[in-house]
Amino acid sequence: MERVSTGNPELDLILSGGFPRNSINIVMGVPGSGKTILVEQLAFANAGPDCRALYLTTLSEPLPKLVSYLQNYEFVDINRIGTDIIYHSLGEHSLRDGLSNEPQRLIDEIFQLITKHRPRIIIIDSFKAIADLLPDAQAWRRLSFDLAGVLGAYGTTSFWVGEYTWETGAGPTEFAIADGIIELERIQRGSRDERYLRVAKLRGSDFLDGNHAFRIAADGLHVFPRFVTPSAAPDYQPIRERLQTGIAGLDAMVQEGWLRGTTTLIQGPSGAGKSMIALHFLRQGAMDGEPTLLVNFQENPAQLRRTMDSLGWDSDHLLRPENIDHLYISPVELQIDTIVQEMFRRISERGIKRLVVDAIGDLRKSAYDPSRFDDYIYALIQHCAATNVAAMFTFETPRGYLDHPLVMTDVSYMSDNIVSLTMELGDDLHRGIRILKTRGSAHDGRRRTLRIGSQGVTVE
Amino acid sequence: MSTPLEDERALILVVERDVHVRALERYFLEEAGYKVEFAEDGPHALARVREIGPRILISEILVPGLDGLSVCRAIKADPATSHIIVLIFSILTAEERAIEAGADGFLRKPLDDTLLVSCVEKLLQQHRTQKGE
Repeated sequence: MERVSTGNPELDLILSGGFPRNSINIVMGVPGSGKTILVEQLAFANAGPDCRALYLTTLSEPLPKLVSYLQNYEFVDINRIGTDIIYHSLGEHSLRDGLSNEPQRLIDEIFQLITKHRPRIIIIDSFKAIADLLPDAQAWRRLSFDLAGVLGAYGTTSFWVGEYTWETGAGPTEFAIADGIIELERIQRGSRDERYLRVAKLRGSDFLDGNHAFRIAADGLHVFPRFVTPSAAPDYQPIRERLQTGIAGLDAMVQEGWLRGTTTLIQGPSGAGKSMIALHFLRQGAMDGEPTLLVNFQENPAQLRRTMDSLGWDSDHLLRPENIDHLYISPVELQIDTIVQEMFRRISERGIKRLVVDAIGDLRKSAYDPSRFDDYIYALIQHCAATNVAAMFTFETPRGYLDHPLVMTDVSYMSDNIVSLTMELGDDLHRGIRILKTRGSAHDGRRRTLRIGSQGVTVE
Repeated sequence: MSTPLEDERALILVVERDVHVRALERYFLEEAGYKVEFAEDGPHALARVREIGPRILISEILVPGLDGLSVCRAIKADPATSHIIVLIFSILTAEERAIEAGADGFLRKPLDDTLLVSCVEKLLQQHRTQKGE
């Protein structure tokens, strides 16, 4: 099956390569959800001398306004407007003068446009606005059927953009006619908006179902395909190599180090030393020449630098991207799909060998569907194992919590190793550390004392 | 003896039920210089063939009464009409069946104007070469 690329590799992946050629597709969503940007990006990605795109506006948005705003996007090349991409306002001809009396005028106009411009892509924005001009559903059914006929007869791939929502009913006529339906959603969560994209229908083609996060940037849509939990663990050859954290006392508790490709959960209350252990782990990696990645949500780059400097570490050297690549995401902007995708991208592109997520609880808060959080973590752990990345996740347990039982049971059973930190508040603050579990390795399960000094963590 | 100039004005009989495809075929073929007539079903197509003697017949397979492949076989089986070039232009992926039925060419829908016109030109050229014109 031939495909029309969306101009967005991730969205193409969701659509199994793009929209089927010669299909009719609906792009639906509330105002401001990104529909027009999606189809404009697609038009500019495909249009050329042999593949002209025809963009038809209706009575919903004046053409000059649309084109004016469009120029703000980097994917737009205004030199191609009028040659590769033709803009035309249907409202000026067929619609304004009484579509209800002579609906055939619209078909005739589109026929003339096809024979004049010979477009391979036709976008009608807003398609729904046309329906609003007709007196009844029957007239609309006839018109949309005829329109599908003329578009289908010529080799075009069409996009009907509309402010449709599922609340409008079981689905208007055009939903039944369309070969594909893409729904864009915009959800307000607290002070931020989250955007999701969903393929509701793609006739004759496989696609990745579910909600896929996206955001709109100057270069168009950035789509983050939803994680699909692997049905089986990937096939890979584990490396039996021991890695050090740089904390000698801790490494000695697990046969001189942690196995490469394993995931370690460090849990404990605030102030117990979780982040410090994680930083030691990354610093040791950087000192051993391994690219590492720190993903955190609380400590911004300036705060991280200050922490390292206070320990006497060379923060300038350590925080070079080739040593410790720092991905700081403000808790306000959290969206798990985008974060995990970004982690995967950096792991792949930079050959990351050690990963720290500080803290996993923050990541859980960002999950659109909390019940699927475990799927994300499972996918992440499997990815790390398959790519021989040693991962360390920190998790903050509630205050007053002194020792196990574990709180994040789902993450803990997926983790290869579990380290539990404790704090006893008496006259003196006493920190403890205990290894609860190591997979594929013996460990010293006794409780040890953990100290945080001017040069970092020591375990006795 | 026909000349290329005459071929440009060659008469084409289009057997097609879909009003939109018909309209597009008429537009692009006439624009390319051909004369176009229509039939909407198989029996009507055979009657028109005998009546107007087209140089080319372009037919969809899915037409009422007698399908496009049967129309093609009937034309090719009759010495009086076997010289007519038959192009099957269908929504179906049926190139092999079209060739087996004696068709001179096959095109899959939807309509691509460049492809359609170039295919017609190519078939006319082949026909001229075969006849030694």
